[in-house]
Amino acid sequence: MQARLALVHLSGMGPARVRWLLSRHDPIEVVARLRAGEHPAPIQDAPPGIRPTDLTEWRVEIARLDPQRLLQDQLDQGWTILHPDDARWPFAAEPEPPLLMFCAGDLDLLRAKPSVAIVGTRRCTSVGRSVAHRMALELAEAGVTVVSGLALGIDAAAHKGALDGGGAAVGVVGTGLDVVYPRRNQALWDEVIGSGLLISEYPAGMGPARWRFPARNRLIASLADATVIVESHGRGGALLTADESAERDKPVLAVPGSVLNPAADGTNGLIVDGAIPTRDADDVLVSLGWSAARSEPESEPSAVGSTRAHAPLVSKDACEAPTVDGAVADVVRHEVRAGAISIDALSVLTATSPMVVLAAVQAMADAGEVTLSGSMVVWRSG
Amino acid sequence: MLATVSTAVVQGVDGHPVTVEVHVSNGLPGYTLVGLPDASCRESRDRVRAAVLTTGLKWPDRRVTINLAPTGLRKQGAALDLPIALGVLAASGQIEAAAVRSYGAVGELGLDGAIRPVAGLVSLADAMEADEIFVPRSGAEQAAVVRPGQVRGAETLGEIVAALIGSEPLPPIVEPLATPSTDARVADLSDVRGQPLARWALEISAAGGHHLLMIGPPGAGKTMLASRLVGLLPDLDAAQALLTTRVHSAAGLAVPPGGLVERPPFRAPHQGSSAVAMLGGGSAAMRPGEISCAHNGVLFLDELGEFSVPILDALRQPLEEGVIRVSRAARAVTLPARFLLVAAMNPCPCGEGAQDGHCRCSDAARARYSRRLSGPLLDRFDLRVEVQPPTASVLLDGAGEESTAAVADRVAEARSRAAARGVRCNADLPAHCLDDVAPLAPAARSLLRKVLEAGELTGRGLRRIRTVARTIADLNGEDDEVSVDTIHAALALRTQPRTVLGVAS
Repeated sequence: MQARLALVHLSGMGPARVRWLLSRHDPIEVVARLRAGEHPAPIQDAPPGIRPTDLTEWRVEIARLDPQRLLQDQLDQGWTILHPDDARWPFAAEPEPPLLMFCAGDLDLLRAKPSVAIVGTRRCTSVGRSVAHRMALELAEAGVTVVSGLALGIDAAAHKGALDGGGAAVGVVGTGLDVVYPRRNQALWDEVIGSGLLISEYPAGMGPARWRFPARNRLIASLADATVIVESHGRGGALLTADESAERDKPVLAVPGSVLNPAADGTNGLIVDGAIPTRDADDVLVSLGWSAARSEPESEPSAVGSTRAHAPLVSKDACEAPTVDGAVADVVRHEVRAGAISIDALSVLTATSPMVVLAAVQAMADAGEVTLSGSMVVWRSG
Repeated sequence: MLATVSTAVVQGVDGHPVTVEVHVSNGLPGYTLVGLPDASCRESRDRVRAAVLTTGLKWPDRRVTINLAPTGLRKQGAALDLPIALGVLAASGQIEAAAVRSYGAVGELGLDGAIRPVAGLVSLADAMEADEIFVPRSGAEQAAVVRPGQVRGAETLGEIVAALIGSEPLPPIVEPLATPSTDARVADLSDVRGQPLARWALEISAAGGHHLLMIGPPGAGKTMLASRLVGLLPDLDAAQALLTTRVHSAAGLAVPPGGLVERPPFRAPHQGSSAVAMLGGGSAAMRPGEISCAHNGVLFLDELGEFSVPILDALRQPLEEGVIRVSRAARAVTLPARFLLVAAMNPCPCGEGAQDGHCRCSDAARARYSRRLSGPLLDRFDLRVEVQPPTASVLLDGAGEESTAAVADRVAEARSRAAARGVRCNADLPAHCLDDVAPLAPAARSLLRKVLEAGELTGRGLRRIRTVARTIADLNGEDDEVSVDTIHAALALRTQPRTVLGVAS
């Protein structure tokens, strides 16, 4: 444990280097060799990018580390540190397993239970956010654990959805568990620790670095039984997660989007390349064979998914306000289902003043039917 | 011999009387200027001497001492050239000292003796302690506005000297021009195609004096809309016109030929403007800044996110009080700054953020961009509207839209309703009289209660919502209670812009 902890603290320690270091000897021996200035593994097998200076640097670093202190520091945080020998270690089949795993929250979530990763772009659309939220919520309700990366955008929506659906949210992060990144996710971070599970392969105090996020993606792919990409641009971390998932022979699912939507370029490309198209939680459950068939068909099919009890129905307050123009509200309802639409366009369509449209939309927003985002009206997002 | 001439200097927008005392005595020829002149004022010696000589008069080859009283007040600029010249001529006996005493004078001299215009003429004319005043011919109408029947416009030093020694008649008295200044409503609202929401917001802003923030991608028409807002505002009344003219004059802006600024000004300072240029201060004259030049008019800040954060935050006090207090080490002036703030910004640095998924900005860049707009400043905007680019069909085939004149009529009507309540516009309605002038219908009350309980609105926000709702009702010609629809609309016009929400959550 202490040897692994020391290795975790070395600079630039990514999955490929870990694999190389441990390719010949156990961690205790590796630490001893590093300390002595010997090669811990055959240099001809070293991953590209390893230079002799790295070994010198590690030697200096390892000489400074005090394994006993390190262990104490980590334990002081109140986290659980999982060792590969632990019965709960989830990465037995992982080709590039982490050295250790730092966990905060409910470790039972790692137990055998179906799990799905929902990931996607940080720069998502409101529709994407809504789809991710709803899918995560319904999967959580169906007893599936939702894994994601606690980034902004789709990841955050997926975590929120899972938490709203009764917990079972696992966040895999690319920093130390005490380094909230991005900072804006502080509340969500705390919530995931409180009612779900947060894990990382990095020790306390480890800050964000560009290369650690793709490395984090492999753990998401490894942890989940399948990966759903909700929205991704033509290039993006979410596509890496899809690759990692495919490499581990796990199903990759993708939510199709408009071909004009740049945030759906990546997902549409995945579908062309053979990913399983999926619309909602039911599709996920069916295509993974966890559910025999889609639940009973809706009376009115909708693009986003089922209108279930959690979607707030028209509230009592809305009924008390009969002044809202019913005809305008009907047009709004009809148009919004086809996609986000601006107040200006609605004003032209209904041939009424912006005031009438705004009043109607705001009343519908209060009732939870739609959301007014700037001057765009969108179907109620999570 | 001793001679005195009345004149004035301007600080901020106010003029201060100054007496030029000239003493010519025997002794070594010399020239001393005392009484806190700054560098530009000290330079007057060479101009005045050349002007006197080219006019065909003599420069005294004696000891010349000039004192600018009161000595505690810093004098700046070339406006004292003319009174100094007259003082020297009187003290050296070339004109009667008694003849000069009843006149005030202000003006810059050219080496050929020509009298050139100076900034702040309105305030200077107002402050001079004299029966009649000599001012530069161009711009004399401005001075005549505050001193009718007492202003004589002169073009050369020779003209004045000839009149004072009696060889020529005095330069004529200048009267303010009777013809009103030409209407500045050049950009018409009918040029704007589509944009019903933004047009409506513009109308509410003009009618109620509510500050407006427009957010939209490049090319959506934000600048076009903003430049048409000023056309919707009513003419300035006499007192407003005079004060705005004073400010413009002090700032050295061109004043319309009639002498009075009668239309609300439209100021659109560039985002790179310095704090002094925006807020005022700077030189000894404490020149008014852009926000004062926009007094009684519209201050348009395009690319709001590109202005420096300290400048934006400094706007908060004038927005609240209608004046800006500029303090420097030695002095402090209070400048008028009651303006309608209209701002435009892109949703994010790349400008494409309004369209879902098109933004190319990094998350950090977006966060940085939205941080520039502090919460308290954002709170001052009663109307926050997202402007979407109009579609091709609207641009090409759109019917002619309502003209400025039609909307301005409704605005004037709404403003007269506000005036009947004893305020300039609804934005000025004090909180305590809202229950009287903007009573809430029961449904509207319960709606607001719900919003307040949800924590989506602050106390200040509530007050602003109610004043905006009052304006909307005024524009619709409703006199009675504020309906729930109106409150809904007012709430929707105050939504958080998406820039500020960011892409998180």
